[in-house]
Amino acid sequence: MQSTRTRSVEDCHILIVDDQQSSRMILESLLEDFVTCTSVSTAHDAIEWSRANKPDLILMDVVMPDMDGHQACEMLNDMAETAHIPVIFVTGSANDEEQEKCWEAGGVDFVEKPVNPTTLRNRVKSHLNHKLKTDLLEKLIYLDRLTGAFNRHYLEDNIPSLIRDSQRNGRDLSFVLFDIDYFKQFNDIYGHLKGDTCLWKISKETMQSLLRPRDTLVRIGGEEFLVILPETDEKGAYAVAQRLIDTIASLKIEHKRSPTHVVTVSAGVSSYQDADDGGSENAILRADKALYEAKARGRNTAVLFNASME
Amino acid sequence: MSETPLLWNKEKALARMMGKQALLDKVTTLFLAQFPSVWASTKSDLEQRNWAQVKAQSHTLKGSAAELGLEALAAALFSLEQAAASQDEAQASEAQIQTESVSEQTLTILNK
Repeated sequence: MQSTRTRSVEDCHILIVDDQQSSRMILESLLEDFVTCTSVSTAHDAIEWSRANKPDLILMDVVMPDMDGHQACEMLNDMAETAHIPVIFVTGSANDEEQEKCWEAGGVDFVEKPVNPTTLRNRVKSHLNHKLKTDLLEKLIYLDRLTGAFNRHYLEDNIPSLIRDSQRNGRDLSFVLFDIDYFKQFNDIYGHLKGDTCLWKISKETMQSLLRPRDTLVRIGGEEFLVILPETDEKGAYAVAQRLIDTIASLKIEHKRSPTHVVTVSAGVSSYQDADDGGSENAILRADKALYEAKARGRNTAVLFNASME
Repeated sequence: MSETPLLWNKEKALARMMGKQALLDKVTTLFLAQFPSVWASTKSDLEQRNWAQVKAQSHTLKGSAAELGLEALAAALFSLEQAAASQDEAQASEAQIQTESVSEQTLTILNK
């Protein structure tokens, strides 16, 4: 779920990656009084865990049997969903060659083993503070102040890397485009202030109903929203859209001029296709056509795009 | 002037763990459980001139020893790691003897 709250260091989550149980134990013990820690023992687990949970900082061992820390850091930097996570290397050797490798791999810092607890704690705090400030700036740039959803700037800046990830990994990327039914009439009856409250409630409920951290809600404009669903096929996206429609209807926001007498939404669903050539415009256009079809079918429903809608 | 490495610089290890005796005890227990089998495996790899494994395992053991303030053992294992990296048989043989001798004394102290 997208969060609109300002966070502090105490809210941060660190991932510790080390094949040695004793090292994991020591690092956790040195940090656990001011930050939440999770430990994994392999680079592969670190990548999977980071993709699913997006930690605020990673403490990465360098020499590990399955994949070394440098390689893992490069892979994390190469994926849109994890590229923003700072990596501090915890290295047994800090000679010139090793230092060069840490920087080249994309690390933000390194601490030498055996770790000095004061140095470790201060470096972790410093990098977390930096990350929190960067997150706050991004929030100010990319968040829609009224609804807390992402705005069009976010879509324009981030969609290319999401598409690149999905193409490279051969994974689906789907979209749910939805808007509020009879919203103009809602504003006419209840006024724009209540209209704004309605937008905020729908946005909030939608963000809460998105179960994975990488699913994002974007306010395209007015009463129109887009849900971006990485690693989700059309069928999965359609299920998300159905759940969304049920959730909004269950809010029972009064709307006298709606046939159901409550606020409802209609949704169009589509997926990115190879022929879309790196851009999101065509996929969103297909979702728009499916949304148009949902409106034609009486609203308060979701429609999956098919070729007959071209 | 460099200091002579101690068999067990317990004070330094405890300071690195922010004075947490319980943590030091846990890490010591883990080390005692892990060291004999990994060292036996390292020696076997050394006999077969499996340098990559010798380098990896001596690196791991060196790290664990250093965390516990086992300075002399960490130094001997560092020498073995370097010998494996450069595939230097003479240095590896010398480092093995050194590690064997230091580890015996170290384990005796830790077991007390």
